[in-house]
Amino acid sequence: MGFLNYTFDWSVLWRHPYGGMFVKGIFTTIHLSLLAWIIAVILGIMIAVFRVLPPRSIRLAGSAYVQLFRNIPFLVQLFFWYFAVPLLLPKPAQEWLYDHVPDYSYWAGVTALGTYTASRLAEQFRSGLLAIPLGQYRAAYSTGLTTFQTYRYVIVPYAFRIIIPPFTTEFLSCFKNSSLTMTISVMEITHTAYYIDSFTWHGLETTTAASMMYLCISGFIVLVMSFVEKKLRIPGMIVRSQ
Amino acid sequence: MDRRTNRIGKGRFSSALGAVCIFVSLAMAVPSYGENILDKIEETSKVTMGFREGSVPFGFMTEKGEWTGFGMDLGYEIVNELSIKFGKKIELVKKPINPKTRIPMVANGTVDIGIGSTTITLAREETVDFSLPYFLTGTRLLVPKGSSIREFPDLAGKRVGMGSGSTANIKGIDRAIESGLIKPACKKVLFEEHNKGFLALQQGKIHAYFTDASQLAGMQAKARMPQDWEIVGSYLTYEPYGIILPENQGEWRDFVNATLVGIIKNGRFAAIYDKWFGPNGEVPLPMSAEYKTLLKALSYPD
Repeated sequence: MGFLNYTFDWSVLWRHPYGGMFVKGIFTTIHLSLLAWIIAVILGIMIAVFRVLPPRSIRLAGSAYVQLFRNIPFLVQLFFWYFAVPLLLPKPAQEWLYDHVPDYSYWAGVTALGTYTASRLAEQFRSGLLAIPLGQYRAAYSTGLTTFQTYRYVIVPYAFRIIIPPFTTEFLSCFKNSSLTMTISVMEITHTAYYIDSFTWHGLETTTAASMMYLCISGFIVLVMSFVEKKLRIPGMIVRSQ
Repeated sequence: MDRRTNRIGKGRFSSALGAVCIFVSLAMAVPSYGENILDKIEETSKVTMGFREGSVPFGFMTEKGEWTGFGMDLGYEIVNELSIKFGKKIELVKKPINPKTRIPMVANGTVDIGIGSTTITLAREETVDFSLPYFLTGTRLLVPKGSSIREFPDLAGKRVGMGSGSTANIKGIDRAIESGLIKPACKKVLFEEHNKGFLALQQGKIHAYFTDASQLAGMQAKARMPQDWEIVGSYLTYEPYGIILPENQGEWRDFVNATLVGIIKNGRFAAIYDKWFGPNGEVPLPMSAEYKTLLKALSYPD
């Protein structure tokens, strides 16, 4: 198969050891994004709740977090976690870290991606919280629930159902942003494609393969999330997109 | 409703088709090298050269933001020779190239010639041509001064940084591991760019950085305290650098080679080397005995 004097050689994708490297890259991308996502969801919900709670100092703290992490480009934050954060530790602690956490770049990537995504997710959760009618709060309080219980059992689950569509989009962003961790030497899908291209000079095949991998995984995520959306839809609310 | 949906569907299809057409026509617009480059240079009085922007001292930006370097000086020599050959001033059009773009940009005709720190390899020869080798270096190690790493076997079990695009270097270290020279194997930490690798080395994330000695000397020269670093180890692989040229342009390649041989013989090359790699140059790097022999061998008789 040829195109503009370029001969495609797809065998590069399963040639030893490149095939194995790609498989490893896919797994790295998946567990890195999943771990980051878990951090992002927990942190995001906490910060969103902070942003709507009455005490001013708590609201300010939540707001400060969002402004700090949402307004700095992700790539810059990545470098910060990988290069700058360890410098805050004393020298022996740094040496211990590098010797005993050989995949430090991976963990820096997880932390950077998790904290960055949390700042964006927090705003989406907040919009979900603000969309809840005041009557829901009143009803919860009138049954004798405390503020914590009101949020835990009524408001957060309700808000979560509202924000599922942007929630899916945010997860896809988190998944795609994981490709930037290649700049701090994490061997995920994009870095693997770049590496194999350096050896084989078949960049078009490796890039196309990487795109397909992202597309397949994203497609699967969208399928799962639309299933979740159907399952969790608020009773009585018409889902017009179906 | 159905008809409306249909119309929207068709509209989207047309837009997609339009986008594909634009993409294909753009791709087809890439110039092919049917014509002789020397004729084209004579006709247009212009030569387009690709130079590196971040490879000290081959091509880089000064603190004042000026683009300069060893490769660029070689480019000026070629432009001078072109002006003499055609009896008129030939304008130099500079374009930035990097390790990922240098080969495609020459192959698809965006630049007529690419000058930088590019190792001649047989795999690359399948896509582009190379001039005679004008620079000879080899892979060594950059370590903090006083490090216990002196030679390649000392890398056993250590973390070694290298560029993920530097194929020859990665293959070199892989061979050293396979042959049992480095036992137990060292851990390869791949960096997209050398400067990030050097930052990681400065922070102790890796124990050594492995690449061409000329690049290591550039990294050391740019360090805040160059005396805190040293280049150790004998050459693990040899890296002959060549100028990248398009394929099937024999006359153009001959012209570039003749210019190189000419400046090696008349001493201009030595002066340019001294300017960049001499004791007072940007990257002090004495010429190795092998490199001197190479240059002597390249001084072809008239």
